[in-house]
Amino acid sequence: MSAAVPVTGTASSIGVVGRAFVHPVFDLLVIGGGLSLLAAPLIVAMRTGTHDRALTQIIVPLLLIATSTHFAASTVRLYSKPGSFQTLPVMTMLFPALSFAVAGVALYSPELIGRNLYLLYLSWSPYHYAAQTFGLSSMYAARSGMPLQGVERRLLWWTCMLPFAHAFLRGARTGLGWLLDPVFFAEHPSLLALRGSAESVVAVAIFVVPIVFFAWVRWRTGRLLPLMVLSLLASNGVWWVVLQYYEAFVWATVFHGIQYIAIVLVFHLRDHPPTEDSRAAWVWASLKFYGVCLLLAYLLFDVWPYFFTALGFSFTESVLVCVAVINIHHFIVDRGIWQIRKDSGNRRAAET
Amino acid sequence: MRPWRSPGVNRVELAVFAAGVGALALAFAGGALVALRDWHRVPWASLNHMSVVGDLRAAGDLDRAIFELAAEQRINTSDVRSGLKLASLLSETGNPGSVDVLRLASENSLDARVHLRYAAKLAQLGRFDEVEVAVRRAEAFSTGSPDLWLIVGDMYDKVYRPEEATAAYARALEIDPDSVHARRALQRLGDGAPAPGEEVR
Repeated sequence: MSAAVPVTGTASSIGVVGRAFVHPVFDLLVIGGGLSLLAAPLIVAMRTGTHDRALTQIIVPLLLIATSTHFAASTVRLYSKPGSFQTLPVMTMLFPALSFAVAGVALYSPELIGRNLYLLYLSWSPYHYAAQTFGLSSMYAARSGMPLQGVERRLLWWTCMLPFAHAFLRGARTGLGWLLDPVFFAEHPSLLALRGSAESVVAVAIFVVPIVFFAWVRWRTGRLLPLMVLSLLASNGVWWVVLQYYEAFVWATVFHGIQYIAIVLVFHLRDHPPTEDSRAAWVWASLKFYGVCLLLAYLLFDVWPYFFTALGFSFTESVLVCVAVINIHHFIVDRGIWQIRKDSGNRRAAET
Repeated sequence: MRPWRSPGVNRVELAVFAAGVGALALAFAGGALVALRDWHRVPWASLNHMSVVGDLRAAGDLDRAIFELAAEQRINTSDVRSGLKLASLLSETGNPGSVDVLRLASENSLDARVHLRYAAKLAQLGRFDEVEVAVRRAEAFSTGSPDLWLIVGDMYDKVYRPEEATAAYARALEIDPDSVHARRALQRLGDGAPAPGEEVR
C-alpha cells in the first residue's frame, strides 16, 4: 500500500487512537503494528540457541498465512476491485504474462538477470514498507479529521522514509551495498566509517523525528495526530532497527503482511459487502476473501517454483526467482490499487 | 473478474491476459504434479527452501546439496551463510572450488569473520599475498577487538608462519595488554614474556 492519501477527512468523535475501521484496539494492534511492538522483545529474547530453531518452526507457517497471503491479496484485490480492468489495463491484463516471462528470463540468466532482480526486490522491500506506513498514516490522519497537506505531508513522508534510509545504508549487498560492494568499503575505511555513522544517526532519527513531528503538528494546528500514526511509525522503525537485518526481512514481512491483509479486507468488504447484514455474513465474506488469497499464495509461492524444476532449473533458483517476481509484481500492483482519486471506491472506503 | 464483459477493454490486451493466465494455470498444474512426486514431505518447502539442503545432506545426497547451494549463490549473493555452508561442503568432499566460494562470500560481506575464513583458506593453500589482503579487509570490518588478531595469529601459527603469527599476537596484545591468549602464544613463539610479576596460566 503505497499511495493511499485522502486529503480530506470527516468530523466524528475520534479517540486518541484515531478513527478506527474496526475497533480502536484492533486497528492499533493489527493495522497499526502494535502486535509487532509487543512481539519484538520476545523475538530478540528468543534469538539464540534452541529457541532459534523454535522461532524457525513458528515462522514458516506464519510466512504462508501472513506474508505469502498478503502478496496474493494485492492480486486478488486488483482483480476484484470494481472497474480495475478499465482503469488499470496494463496491470490487470499484461502483468501475468509479463511476470511469467521475467521469471523465465531470470532463470535463463541467473547471474545477470536473476541476481539483479533478486537484489532489486531486497532493496525495494524496505521502501515498500515505508510507503505503506506513509499511506496508512496519512489515511488515518485524514480519517481522524486531520488531513495532512503541504509541508506537513512532506515531513510525514520523510519521517516514514527514515527506516528505508536505514535499511539502504545497512545492507551488505542490498541498497547501498548493491551499488557499492563491500570490497569498495574495505578499501576505503573512511567511507566505511562514514556509512556506519550515518546508519547510527538515522537509527536514532527513526525514533526521535516522529516525536518531534508530532510536537510540531500539535504546535502548528493545536491538535494531536492520532496514536495510530505514531504506532505505525514506531513499528516500522522497530522492524528495521531493533531486529537484525535478515531477521527484519522475515519478521517485517510477517507483520507488514498482517497489517496489509487487515486493511485490504476492510477495503474489499466496503466494495463487496455481504448481501445480508449479519455478523455471520461479514465473517463468511472475510473468510472467503482470505481463503482465495491463501490458495493463490500457496500456488504462487509453493507450487509455481516446481514447474521450473520440471524444466530442469534447480529448486533453489526457481524459488528465489519466483519470490523476487511475486514481490516486484506486488510492489507495482500496490501503487495502482491504492490510488485514491476523486469519487473512487478507495476514497469512499477510506473515509467511511 | 470478467474482463471480456468490461466495456472498452482492448482485444490485444485481452489476448495477452488469456495467455498469461493460461500459462500460469498450466504452470500451477505442472508444478503441483512435480511437488506431489518429489517433494511430498514438506508442504511448504519453498518457504524454507534452504531446509531442502539440510534434508539432502541428511540423506547423504551431497552432490544435490552442493547443486542447490551453488544455485543460491548464483542469485542470492547476499546470503553469506549459505556461501559458507557451500564452502564447508566442498571442503568436505575435497572439491577445490571452496576457495572461490569463500572469495565470493567475503566479497559480499561486511562481516570480518567471513573475511577471516577466506584468509584461513588461502593460508591453508599457501597463498600468503592474498592472505594479507583478506586480513586487511577483515580489519576494515572489525570493531577493533583483539580477537581479530588472535584469530590471525592462530591462522599463521597453524601453517607454520611464526613471524606473521608473532606480529599478529603482538597487535592483539597492543589492543588488550591483558590477553592471556596472546601472551601465551608469544611466549611459546619465543618473542614475548609475561609482564613482570605476572604469571601466564
